[in-house]
Amino acid sequence: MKQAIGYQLSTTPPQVQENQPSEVVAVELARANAKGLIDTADILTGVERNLVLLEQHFEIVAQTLANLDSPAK
Amino acid sequence: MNIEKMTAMEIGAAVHAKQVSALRVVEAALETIHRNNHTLNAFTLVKDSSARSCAAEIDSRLANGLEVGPLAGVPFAAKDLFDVRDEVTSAGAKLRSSQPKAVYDASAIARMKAAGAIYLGRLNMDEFAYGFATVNAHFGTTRNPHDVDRLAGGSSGGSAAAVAAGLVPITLGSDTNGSVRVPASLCGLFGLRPTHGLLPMDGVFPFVEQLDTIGPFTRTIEDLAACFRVLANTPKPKRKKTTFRVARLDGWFRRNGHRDGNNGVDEIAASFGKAPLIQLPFSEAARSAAFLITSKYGGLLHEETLRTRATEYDPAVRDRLIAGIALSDHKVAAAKRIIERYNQELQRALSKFDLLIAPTTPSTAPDISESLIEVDGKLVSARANLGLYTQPLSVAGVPILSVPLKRPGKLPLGVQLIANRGNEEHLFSAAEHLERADVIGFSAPALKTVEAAT
Repeated sequence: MKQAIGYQLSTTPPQVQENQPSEVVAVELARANAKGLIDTADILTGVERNLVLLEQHFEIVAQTLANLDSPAK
Repeated sequence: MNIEKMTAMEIGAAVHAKQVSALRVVEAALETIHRNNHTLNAFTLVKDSSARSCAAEIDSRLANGLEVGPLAGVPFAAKDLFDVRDEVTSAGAKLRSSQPKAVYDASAIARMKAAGAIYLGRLNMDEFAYGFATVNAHFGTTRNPHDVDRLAGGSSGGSAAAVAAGLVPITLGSDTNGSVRVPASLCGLFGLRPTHGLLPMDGVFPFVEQLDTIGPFTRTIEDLAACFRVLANTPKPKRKKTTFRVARLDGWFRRNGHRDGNNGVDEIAASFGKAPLIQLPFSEAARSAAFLITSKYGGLLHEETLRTRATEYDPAVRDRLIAGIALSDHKVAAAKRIIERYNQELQRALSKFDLLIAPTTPSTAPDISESLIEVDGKLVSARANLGLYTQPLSVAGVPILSVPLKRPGKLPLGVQLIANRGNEEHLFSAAEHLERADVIGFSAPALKTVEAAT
């Protein structure tokens, strides 16, 4: 049985700092919700867990690029 | 004549010489499949009747002195994402069961059939090829013939289990991030990820097109090379490469490795003589980049279907796909920058060496009930992480052959041989050398065997 989660999009998207993964994930969750892809609490939890994992991978990518772009390099 | 243990080349030769009929070969394979598949869950569809008809046709052509192909009478089966005429291409997803049946064979299937191989059915996979485990919410988990309490690997797990258990000598799978190489390693087989774009992808259900390839599984390198040449429509080369400049990949590729896997890499390297350890910079970042790209583009392929039928997906796959769709574009752009840089590094290495060597998987087959592996001291999901060493290399589009270390009586482990684009034949020559040196080779299941479990 489907359960509405009532996840609300803000009228103005939050300003996201890249060093705050939980907020980044919240923005991406909101995007999935806005696209009509999340309509149950189960899916919300699973997607959130995967977004956290993707964020961890992005941090590795971002850190590597930062090192590459560093003037010291 | 023990057909179950014969290689594809032995079967082909025996059928050509009329020492055994194609029909007898097929009957033996069908009997083995029906005896073992309820334990392994490798096949999702077995085509008894059409296989017998095709075998009878091969026998008739031979009796009439007509040409038959190099794989005449050789049974094969394919992952459930290849179009086969008059069959539904499920791609491991129950939600596709009501799709219309395919009108044509995928080119790869057509080439196998034209070579005389006899199609026996469809093989289990992770839903939409998204996983390294072949744990499928709808079609069940495929079990490893070397220990039926363990994973076969994925996403082409059915393809690997079927060959390792002796159900068929050749299967086809697909490899986006390691989906041929990971199950080949865990089931102790030869498994090829060819050069990206080399083999025909028409009639193959896509996952991430910029990474997708198809590839064969076999128990010998001779069978694998023969199958590749049929799929690529290329002749056997007149001259083989006999000397190789070889290097072992250090750093990321040894950090979380199974001790036996790293020792196996060293043993393989030693058989080539000098083989230094080299760094391949950005491998960890390339793995993460592949993870992000796969999630984003894999997700986008399913966006429309997910809007209306999300609850019909395997939940684990669905949640990964939705997360990918939601991933910000600037993160995908960053991942692409890493891939570009990584490709430069890999090309630099391949300009100095003909062959790079790395483990295929960080562990032997994990237990089905736990499905966890240890990475950097933490227990993580096997389904998402068995591709630790295959995933970064996938982004480069180069051919990679997973070969089985010779370890009879132990759980299998594979090693990746990596060459430059278009150099599949170099990989085959290198593997033949290693097979002759008895460093690599298929070991029949010897732990909890299929027979013992039934």
